[in-house]
Amino acid sequence: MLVFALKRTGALIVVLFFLTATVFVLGKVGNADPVRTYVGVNASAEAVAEAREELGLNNPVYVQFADFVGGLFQGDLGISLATKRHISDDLASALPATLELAFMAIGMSIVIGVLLSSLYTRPGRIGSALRFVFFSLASAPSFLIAMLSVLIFYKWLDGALPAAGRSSYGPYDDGTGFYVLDGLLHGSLTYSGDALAHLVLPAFAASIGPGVALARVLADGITSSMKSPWARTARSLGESEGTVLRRHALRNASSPALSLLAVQAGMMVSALVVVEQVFSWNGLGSYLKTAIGVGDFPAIAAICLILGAFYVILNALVDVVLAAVDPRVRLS
Amino acid sequence: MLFSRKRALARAEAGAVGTLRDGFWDALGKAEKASLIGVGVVIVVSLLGPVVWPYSAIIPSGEQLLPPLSGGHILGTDTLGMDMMARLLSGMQRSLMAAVVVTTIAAIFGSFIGVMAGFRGGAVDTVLMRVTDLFLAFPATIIAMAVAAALGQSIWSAMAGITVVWWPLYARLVRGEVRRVVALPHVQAAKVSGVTGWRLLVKHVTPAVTPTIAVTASLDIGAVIMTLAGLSFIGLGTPAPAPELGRMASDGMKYFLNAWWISVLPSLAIGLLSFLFNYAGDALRVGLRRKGV
Amino acid sequence: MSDAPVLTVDDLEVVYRTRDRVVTAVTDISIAIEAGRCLGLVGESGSGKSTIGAVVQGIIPDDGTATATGRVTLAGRDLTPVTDPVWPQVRGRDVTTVFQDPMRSLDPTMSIGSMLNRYTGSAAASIAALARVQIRDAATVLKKYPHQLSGGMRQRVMIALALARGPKLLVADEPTTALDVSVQAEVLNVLREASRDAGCAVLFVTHDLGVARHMCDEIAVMQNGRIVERGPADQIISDPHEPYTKRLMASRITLDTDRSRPVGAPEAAVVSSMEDVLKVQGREGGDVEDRWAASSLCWDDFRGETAAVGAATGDDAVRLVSHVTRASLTVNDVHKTYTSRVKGRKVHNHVLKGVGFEIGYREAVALVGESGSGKSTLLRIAGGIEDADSGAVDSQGVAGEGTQVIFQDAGASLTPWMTVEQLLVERVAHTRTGKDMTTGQMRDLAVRTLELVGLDATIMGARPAQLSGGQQQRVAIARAVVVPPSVLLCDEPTSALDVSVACSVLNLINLLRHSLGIAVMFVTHDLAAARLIADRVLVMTGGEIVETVPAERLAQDITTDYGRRLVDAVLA
Repeated sequence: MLVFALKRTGALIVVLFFLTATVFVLGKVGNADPVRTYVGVNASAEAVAEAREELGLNNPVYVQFADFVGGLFQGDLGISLATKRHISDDLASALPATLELAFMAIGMSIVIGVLLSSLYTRPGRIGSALRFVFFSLASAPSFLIAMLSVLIFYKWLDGALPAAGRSSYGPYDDGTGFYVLDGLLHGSLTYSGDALAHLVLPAFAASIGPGVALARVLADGITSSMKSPWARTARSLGESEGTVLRRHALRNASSPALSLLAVQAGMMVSALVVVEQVFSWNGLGSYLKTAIGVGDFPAIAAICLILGAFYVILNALVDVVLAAVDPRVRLS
Repeated sequence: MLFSRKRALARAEAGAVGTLRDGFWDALGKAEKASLIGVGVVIVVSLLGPVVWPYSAIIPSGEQLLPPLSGGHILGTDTLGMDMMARLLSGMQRSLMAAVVVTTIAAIFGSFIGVMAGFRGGAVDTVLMRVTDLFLAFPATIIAMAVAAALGQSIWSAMAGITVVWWPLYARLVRGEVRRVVALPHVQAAKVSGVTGWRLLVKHVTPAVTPTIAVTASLDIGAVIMTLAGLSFIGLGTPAPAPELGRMASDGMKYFLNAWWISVLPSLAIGLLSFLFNYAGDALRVGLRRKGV
Repeated sequence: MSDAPVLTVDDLEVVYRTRDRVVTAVTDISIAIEAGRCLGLVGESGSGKSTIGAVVQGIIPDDGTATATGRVTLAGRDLTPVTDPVWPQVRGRDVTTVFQDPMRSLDPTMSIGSMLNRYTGSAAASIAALARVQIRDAATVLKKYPHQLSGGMRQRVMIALALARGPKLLVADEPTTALDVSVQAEVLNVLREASRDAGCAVLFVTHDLGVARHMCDEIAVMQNGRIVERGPADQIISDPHEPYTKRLMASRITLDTDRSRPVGAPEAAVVSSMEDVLKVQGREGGDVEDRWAASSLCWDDFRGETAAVGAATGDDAVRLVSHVTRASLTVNDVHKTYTSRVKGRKVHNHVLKGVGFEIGYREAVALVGESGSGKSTLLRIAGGIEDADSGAVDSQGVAGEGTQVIFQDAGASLTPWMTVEQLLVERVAHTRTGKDMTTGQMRDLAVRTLELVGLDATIMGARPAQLSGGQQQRVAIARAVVVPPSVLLCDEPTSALDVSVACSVLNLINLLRHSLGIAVMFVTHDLAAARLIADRVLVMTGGEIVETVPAERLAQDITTDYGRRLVDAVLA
């Protein structure tokens, strides 16, 4: 088990290194001219030369890469060409915003997945109608779901749920950046409740896809487990269908569902990027969109690195957890 | 769901398929037939629509922000007074063609790598699969984003970005299939008969693998359409006035509460495309499996 | 024990409806079993025996739209077959089952203890239950997961589970078919003793007459959904009355079967020439009685016709060499090790530890061993499918065309999208013989070879899926001998087949061996089949050949303990 965890960590480090290298190389070979973006189109030759020096572009490439990696270790993601500030400072408020939304969305997708999975396997007309609806929902882009939920809950239901921003009040000065948590820390349930209300629609829009996918995997896993030879054995020993489901099928279906959830959670972070646009959520996504708009590649690279690392680490964690849970992985 | 590469892989692996044969159509249910017909209709409409439709997709042709069913514009006009229907038709055509190109290139390149690795085995296999696994370990959409961003704002960059992260799926899938097929008794029997090298690969191995590749690719088109739209939505596509569905949707967000149609309609178009292709892809797989091939 | 039967089935009929047809699985079935007795249901695949096993548990396999009529009385309770609402209370208490597939019949995520304790009530009771199925180290076994146990152990656990709550009836559905022969006997003994101790009746479903005789007090023989004959086990085996049972018995191969003649021939039929034999053997379907016939001919009689066949098969195709200087196959000190990774550590599995033997001109040698003995690996190396780590295999032999292999699963060994003609011609084109031949000549050779194995030339254009199992097997054999190899390697060619088909394949191999003059290496776990084909039997275990015995007096001459165990495991 320990050996497995260590090996998985080793692989994780390799992947993270190549991820960093890939992002760095893309910055070097890309079309955008970082200096021009930095100083503006009309800057003098001296200003350009100065900027080159300031951005470290006169150093050999391997030194630039070493500086880049060294900076990452100190939490320095480089300098934004657009805001001319340290990207890590820019992200200080954006990262908690996105993470808060992500946690909420993951939680909601688990709830959706588990609830839907029991509906999914229903036989007959109702079942196939439900499956059709789920399938359609899973095929819809998350921004469509986001837009429709804004139209329904904000516009047509006259503001039943807030559809823009994170809070009606603005942040606490000494807050953690996680608004729901901040409210609790300051003893203001109103504040937390308001933040939660703001979370509902964007989290819902981001969680429909993963939730449906989870439901399908759970349902498929349970269905195939219920048809398996060991389920037949359990029945021949007198177990009822309910017991076979609880004692055997759920256990066997949970591992693939868990690993799917990891993949989905990683992908959801990128779906959030899109959803944030619709809900004017000042998180990584909005920052990314701005950076893309002005060709600010260092900022784009930084966000890709953060999201990428999140995805890779999460997957490694789940692999280790699965190995700990599933005797087949652990003992064979 | 916006990004669905992993799901595409899982689906492809879950449904290893056989060959297409006569009677495939009969094995399909009503809904499955309908979805295949739907895909046919969408392809025809998006190819012919822009030619037939009287309005241009990139030249203003009426008042600005006309709501649907007004002023002679069935789906209204956008902020510049361009006809929404014309833009949607062109946008669907663009999405479709881009997705087909991306899927084809990724499938061909990935399959080539997969066949090499699976058939040759040994060091070739190890090296190719290490590289493939590295790519697979990367978060696909984020790398696609980074690649597209580095190449600049255009649909070509987005396509390049997606191709870069999509081929490893085929490499993995095909390599696994080739290794499975090579271990099958009929390939071993052919080897014993004295058949080796290219003839063994072409005559006894690849016919078992190509249907899987073809079905996987057709299953993937929906996912690629959605990923392209996602990239386009966050600004990694050709800027307006190019009729690109994802960008149209996100550009329209500024006027969302007053003119919902300029964002919602392109999103619906993407949803329709991805839904039809996903559903038809599933139908294809179900049909093949029900045929028992 | 009371005299009233635990189980009675009266006038049972089960009908399956699929999309486009209606199949009567069983009809007119009436059986009864008393407590402590064992009834065997014996039949070939498709005879309906498993359907009865499913009915008496109140489960019909799959979700099939099945209807059943008749009456089932179990432990004094009257039950409607299949649909009775009381079944869930009966199943698991009055009737339990041991299934065929021990690999997958236990939930892989649960330890043996957590499964068994549920039915025994406590760990101590579970240990006692495991002791009853002769598992000594019960406390350790309770902590293990199914995949950590051998097939035999898993099946014992299955038996312990099935007997845990003291059922009145135990259904055993081919419980040892997936096990090695030596394990099979042990598990059968465990099953018999444990069920007798528990005083429960056993319905034993099997295709294997030897197993049935070993286990059962009474046997009912099934064919096409009906019981054709029933009686005490010994009587059915030694003195069958019905033609079908007679044929089934005649197709059985034991250690006493006459090796000099084709097996499976009823006394009446007489044929006089090889052409007759081929014609009769090749026919699919037809009357059971005349499908198999060759009572007076000995294999040696075919030698005389060899030259004629040689001429008929093409001048260059069969090079019969009368003066032989070299062995057909020489295997010299072959080693093979597989390396796998378990939990990141390398594990070496030394499959072949220096194996060496020779197969002489026209000689047939059988390699007998259980799974893991290395016999199949050796065949794959001899066939050129795998390479040995060290040592040499020389198969150039007399004809210079090397080795050919007949695989266990003949259907799967034919490339699905190629026609019979393409398959055969491809083989010819890749031999020395075929180098100078035109396509037309290759075609002619293919046709003649199909006739040789008893097939009609009209199937040349067929693809494997369009052929029956027997035809596929013959096409596979035809491809192997279309250009006769020095050695024909046979990898358990009969183990997946019903007895009558298996018997016909063995006859065909024997026939080809004698008529084409090729040597045979026959790999099997079945001593009786080995004895029938081979002149010499090599016993393999643990990657080594431990004994070489002349086939004729196999049972008497075998000396090693391991060999004796294999002989004892052949249930006669």
